[in-house]
Amino acid sequence: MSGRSVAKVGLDWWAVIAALLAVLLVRTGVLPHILW
Amino acid sequence: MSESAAIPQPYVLHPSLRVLRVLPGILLLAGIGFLGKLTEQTIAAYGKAHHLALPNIEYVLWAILYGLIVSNVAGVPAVFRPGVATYEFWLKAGIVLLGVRFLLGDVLKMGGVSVVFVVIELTISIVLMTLLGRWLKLSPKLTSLLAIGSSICGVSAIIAAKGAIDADDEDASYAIAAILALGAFSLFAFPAIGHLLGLSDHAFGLWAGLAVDNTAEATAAGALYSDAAAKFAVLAKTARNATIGFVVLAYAIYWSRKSQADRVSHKAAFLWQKFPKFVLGFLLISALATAGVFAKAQTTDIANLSRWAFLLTFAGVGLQTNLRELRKQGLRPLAVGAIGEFAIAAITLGLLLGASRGLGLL
Repeated sequence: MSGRSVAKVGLDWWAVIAALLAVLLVRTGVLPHILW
Repeated sequence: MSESAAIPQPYVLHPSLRVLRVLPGILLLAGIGFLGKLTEQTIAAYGKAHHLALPNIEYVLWAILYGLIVSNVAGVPAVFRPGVATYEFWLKAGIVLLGVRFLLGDVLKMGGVSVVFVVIELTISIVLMTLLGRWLKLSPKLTSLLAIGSSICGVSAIIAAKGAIDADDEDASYAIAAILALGAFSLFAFPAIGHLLGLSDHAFGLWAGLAVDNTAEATAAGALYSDAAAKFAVLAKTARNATIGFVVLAYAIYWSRKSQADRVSHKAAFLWQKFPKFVLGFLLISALATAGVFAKAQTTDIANLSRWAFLLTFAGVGLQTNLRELRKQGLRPLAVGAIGEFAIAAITLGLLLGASRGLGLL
């Protein structure tokens, strides 16, 4: 279960920071169109 | 000669190299997830080319299945493990990004409806698991962990509660194994039952978010049903996750009164420490979308980024599920978990059916 135990306080903030950074890159047009 | 040369120093990776440790595993997640997506597309294209009505099996299921096969047949080599363990990070980043598809008013409205169901679900889960644990003579702390795990958010809640109530490592891994085994089962059972009953995306999403315990599995169960159902599943599950601090605090106070855990001196600080911070990120992105900060194409781009993050998550769900390890954990905690979860799933389904068909709420 060692992998599951990474769910500690701290991981949440990193996820928020990474998501906000990605949003900023999309908003400023640095990231090209993201296809699915 | 310098002193550091004389005394052996523990081997510490330079921070820039730590990123390299997770790279192989992240590439494995991406490879398995993408293979799942390719499988879905290939089957659909084959059916179309040959005029066959093949069932549309979402990439979610393929990614989880491929992950399960790799981890249980070949095993995950050590070099991949740090990267595979990042799947929780992708899950949370994916949920934050998904905020772009919700208007804040809808979040508050639907979140409000969800909260009513969450409160009912929490009460039923805690009472039921406590009674079952006593009946099957599990240790009281294992019973508490199972009650917390099944009422809130599976593994994260159990990890948060373990420290707060001073539970044994063994009890925590029993509870985690039971929750994971049932989560894996729900992935396959929930969408089948949902289709059988013809549940709407809204009703099914709420049901998956309320009754499937681990956030990754709840999101996957929703995504297996439909894209819209995944949205509602994430919303209901996020509302449930937000209660983690209150429930763990209540248990911490209960066990410290029995003098079997440390006292909680600062309740507000405790609540903040246990609060899942990614919920704030989700609300922030939702608020930005509501304020019209993003053009339509940008909203689509951000929502697609969220799908890519979930693709890595679902591959990780399969890769992290070790069926042999789950079997080793013993049957009694699993039995308590299974009976409890089955009852919770049935009761929440009954409530949702009542709300959607009887009251026309959903």
